[in-house]
Amino acid sequence: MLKKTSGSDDGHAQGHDHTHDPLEEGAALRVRALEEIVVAKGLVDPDALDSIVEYYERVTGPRNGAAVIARAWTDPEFKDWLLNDGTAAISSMGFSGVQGEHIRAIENTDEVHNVVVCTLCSCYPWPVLGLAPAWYKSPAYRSRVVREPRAVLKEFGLEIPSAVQVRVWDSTAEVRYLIVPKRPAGTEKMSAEELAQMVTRDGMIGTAAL
Amino acid sequence: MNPFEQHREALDLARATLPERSEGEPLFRTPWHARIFALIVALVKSEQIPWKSFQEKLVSALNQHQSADAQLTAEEVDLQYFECWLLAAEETLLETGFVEISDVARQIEAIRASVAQTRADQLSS
Repeated sequence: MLKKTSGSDDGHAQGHDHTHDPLEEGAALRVRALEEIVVAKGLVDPDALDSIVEYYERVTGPRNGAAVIARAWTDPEFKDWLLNDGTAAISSMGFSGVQGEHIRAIENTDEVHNVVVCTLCSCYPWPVLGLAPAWYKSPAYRSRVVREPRAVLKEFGLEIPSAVQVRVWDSTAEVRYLIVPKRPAGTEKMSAEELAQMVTRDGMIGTAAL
Repeated sequence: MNPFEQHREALDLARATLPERSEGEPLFRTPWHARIFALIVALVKSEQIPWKSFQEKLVSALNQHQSADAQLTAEEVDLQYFECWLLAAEETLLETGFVEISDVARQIEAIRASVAQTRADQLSS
């Protein structure tokens, strides 16, 4: 049974002699309390929170980026635009929002292979790739890919020939990067829709080839 | 000697293997991850907080809590990451004055009381 110790404002859990369940302690409880407070103050609308979760769980994701890449492969004018002003070209396809304010697209070529990291945290172009996978947020990837990109790429199963330069791009709060992978050989007759199916999330981070 | 090799933490990171890399990981592993994520995104979208100020707090939380143990599974990375996200969110909400520490303590008590009441009602009915 909950014993309420009133009058304490120190922010610490009070009355610890009851049976715990997950809601009653720790992070879940803190989050619920914060949410109730900001909702009660009218700072956020609970429906807006639901639709944000829905958007990240169901709407945005690497399929958006794949559509952008496939279009760039099939439409040279769009590709130029994408490489010169990634944010505008991407938003013209309806992909914009938080962490999409400044996206720079970088093209892989026969000479250069590009790979993206966020060394400080997890900056990532959400409108085109969705939320970052766990490995992207891991301290191992964030610290190692800068220092030894070829070794890290090899762990991803991607061996970059020594003649090809490897360039690492560090995403920040200001600029997030999207890699335009090389179009696979033998796909000349494919439609943009078919091509989009071949584009993977890791291909657009630069940790996989297509 | 290479100074880097004298730095144990950096050396651990250099040896650390990457977490597993499946395509089908859940976006949010617990409901509160989704709620605190959405809360910050909502405040950024409505321009009540700048992303940059939240992000700086996230970076500092990650620095303090994440780098010590480099050998993590994907699930551990996510759990630590969202713990850091929550710390940064709390700091942001306190700093902006949107939330007071006393509000949080009071709200937590109210939630506890309501949960206890619901449980008591269920037992007696």
